[in-house]
Amino acid sequence: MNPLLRTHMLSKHFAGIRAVGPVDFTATSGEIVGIIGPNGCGKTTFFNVVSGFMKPTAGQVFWEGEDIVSVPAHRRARLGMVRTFQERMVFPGTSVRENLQTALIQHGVDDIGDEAVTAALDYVGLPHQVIDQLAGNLSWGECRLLGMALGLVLKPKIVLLDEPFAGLNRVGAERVTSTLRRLRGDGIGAVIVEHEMDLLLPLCDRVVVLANGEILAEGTSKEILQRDDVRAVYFGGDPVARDQ
Amino acid sequence: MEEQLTLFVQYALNGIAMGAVYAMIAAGITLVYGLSRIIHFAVGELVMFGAFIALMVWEATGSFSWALAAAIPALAIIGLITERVVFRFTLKEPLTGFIVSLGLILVFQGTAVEIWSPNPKYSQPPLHGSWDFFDILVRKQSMLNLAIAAVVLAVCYVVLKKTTAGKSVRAVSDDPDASALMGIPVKKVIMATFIVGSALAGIAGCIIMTVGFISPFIGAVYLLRGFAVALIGGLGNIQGAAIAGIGLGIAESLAAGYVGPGWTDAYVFGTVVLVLLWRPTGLAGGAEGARI
Amino acid sequence: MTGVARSPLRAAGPYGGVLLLGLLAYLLPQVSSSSFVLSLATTALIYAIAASGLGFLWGQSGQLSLAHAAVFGIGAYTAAICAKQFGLTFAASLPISTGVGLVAGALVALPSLRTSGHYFVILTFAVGEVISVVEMRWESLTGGVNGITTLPGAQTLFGLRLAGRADYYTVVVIFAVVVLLVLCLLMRSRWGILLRSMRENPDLSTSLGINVPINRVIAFALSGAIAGLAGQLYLYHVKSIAPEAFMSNLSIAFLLVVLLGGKNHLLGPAVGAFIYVFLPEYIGLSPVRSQIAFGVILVIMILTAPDGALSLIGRLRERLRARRPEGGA
Repeated sequence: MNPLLRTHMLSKHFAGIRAVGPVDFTATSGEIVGIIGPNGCGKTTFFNVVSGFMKPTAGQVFWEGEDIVSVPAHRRARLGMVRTFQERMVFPGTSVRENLQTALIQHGVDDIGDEAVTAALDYVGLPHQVIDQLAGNLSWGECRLLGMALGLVLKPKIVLLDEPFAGLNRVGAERVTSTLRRLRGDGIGAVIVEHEMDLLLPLCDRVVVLANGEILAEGTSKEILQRDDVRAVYFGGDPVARDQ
Repeated sequence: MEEQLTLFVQYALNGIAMGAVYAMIAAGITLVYGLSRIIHFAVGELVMFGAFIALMVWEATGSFSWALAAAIPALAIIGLITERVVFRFTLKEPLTGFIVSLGLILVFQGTAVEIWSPNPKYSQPPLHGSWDFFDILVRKQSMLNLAIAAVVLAVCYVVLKKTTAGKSVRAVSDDPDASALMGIPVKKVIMATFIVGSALAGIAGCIIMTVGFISPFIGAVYLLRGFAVALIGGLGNIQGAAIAGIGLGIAESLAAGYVGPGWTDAYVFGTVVLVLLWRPTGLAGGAEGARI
Repeated sequence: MTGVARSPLRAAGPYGGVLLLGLLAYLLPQVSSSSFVLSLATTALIYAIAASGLGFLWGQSGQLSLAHAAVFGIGAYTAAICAKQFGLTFAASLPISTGVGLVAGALVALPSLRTSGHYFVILTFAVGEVISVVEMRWESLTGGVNGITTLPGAQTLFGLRLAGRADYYTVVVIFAVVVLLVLCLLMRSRWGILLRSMRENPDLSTSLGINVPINRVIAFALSGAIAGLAGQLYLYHVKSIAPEAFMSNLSIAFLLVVLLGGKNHLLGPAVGAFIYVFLPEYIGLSPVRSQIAFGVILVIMILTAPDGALSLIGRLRERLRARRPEGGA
């Protein structure tokens, strides 16, 4: 069976310097794949190229077997590939209601009333009271959850999550984890770029380690943890620095 | 054939002198933008103010040197006041600074009409006469103007590249926060660029006074030329501005000479549009945040 | 469910506001029949229509255009040329000037596909200047610096005489109400929600499948159509147009009008337009001095109340509501 998402020799250079690639990568629905690697290993760039926010320097991205390199980002979203962002995760100047209504409209929902909105809030475990607040006034953790809700309302086949745990405290991280655990049951695949190995590895069916833009290792969480080369790259010397 | 060549060189020469003026306006725009991220749209009105002040002094004293000596500090003071009173409060929101500059256009233009009446004014060039090289007419005033512009731009360049003051300007342009940590008085540096940028517009105004008519409404014309040059040269890039300024001056003069003067504005503004479409971040500069 | 369902009265609020404003404007001739006041009010309403288009664009989609006056001018010139060269009536040329405005608005927006931020705003300014030069120099079509003069003659619309000052005022009131109602409808539509999302975070909008560039162009086209319509109304009001009426200063004036009332409020630009037109007359300022004063006001407004005068009312209401004890929820 064809994997839902596949990249072939995908690479991205900035001013002649290689940031990513060549990378062969696959992901499919109902599966959670983690992408880990040290800072500057090209994780976010890889996301940007796969989701269509940047043009690759070379290589292809296949979606359900079709090359989608020339498909613009917004249409990739309509195909069922939705991404989240590390920082600007929500629409800050409008209410939480309008934030979610945007996603509901994009999903083609007829009724975008408060019932549909609160259902989306429930899905990620946000309290109903936030509905009238400006999204920009939410806490960082609530923004993170709202950002995930925006993507998940679209019922994507695969969601690309860019560091969903970054900047969260324990409570926030637990809420994100419990949302992620529901994805598999709903048939949504996830590709998660993350720094927090402790939080990520227990969730993943498969883990890919990026180093210097290339795939260093691939396997189950257990296999990855046992590989010496991964430990050398990832844990070698200093403790892993937090992103920014 | 030879006549054709002579004519071409004549047009090009006329263009160079004007192009140097555009380069000066653009240098001011670029300095202010490089440090404050503010698109200062009232710069055309500053040019106009410089021209009127120079004209007043020139008519009163009969000395072009006095005209320059009056216009430069006058504009520097205007630059200082606008920075202290308004632009200082918009540094966090460059778009606000831009809209503020639009308001200043209304203020400056209206003030100029109040003081100098809305009618266009013409002046005799301070330096009469010309030299004749192989049938090419070299007007003395044009050469003086070119010399002034060249000296001013060269001084700007040297100060920016070689002196400690210039180094702090470049440091602030690169990274205001880090510069502040290093003990550079960021606000004072930004204030200085507003003063220098306005003074540059004032000098440009002095020169414009000597070559054509002036009125309170000439601001937009010079504003757009200044921005055309700054954008083509890359915002934040003085050498780029000098080259692009001369280029625009020559192109404009050729267009006026061969096609007719009526449509030159359309060509210039059309060029801005096309350049921005072709290379959205300017020809010479890299990203929107091109640095000095 | 905690999200309190909005009361029908509140939901109808903006529509009611538009209709109330329309009624007030309609009744103005009853209060003051001076033809001077009527003429000012007509100008104010035309500016209100044009500025509402800009306000929608700026407030909802977050795009600022400095070519709005030029597009307004294109509408006026189109109507004038239709009347002068083709002998078209007001009603026949209305769809043409609106349509040309729509296309012009879309063309102004096309660069936004390639560039954004500062560069785009400068571009709109340059486009506006190009249009001014064309109006000035294409003499066979536009009459050059002398412009074009047209007289509506004995034409009528909705049974109202276009040449009659009071009748024409009523025509303009009707158009203003229709335009504001349409904008109100759009602001509260699904498309309005998407536009505001694009304003807040274009990348996130894209990742949710919104075609951001196309929607921006559509928003520009809409504001252009409104400017074109207002341009024709302006022509039939002043009868004689020349290029200098539509230069960049008018674009700045539209921006000021939007800021005065508030860009996030449907009626903001209309309120701003009345302040802009009536205030100088009532405090007896010459046009030049009022230009200086408005420049100062623009600077003060953007520094102290960037959301406009109507936002002050909103802020007051918030404060009153905060003082009241929370009920229910």
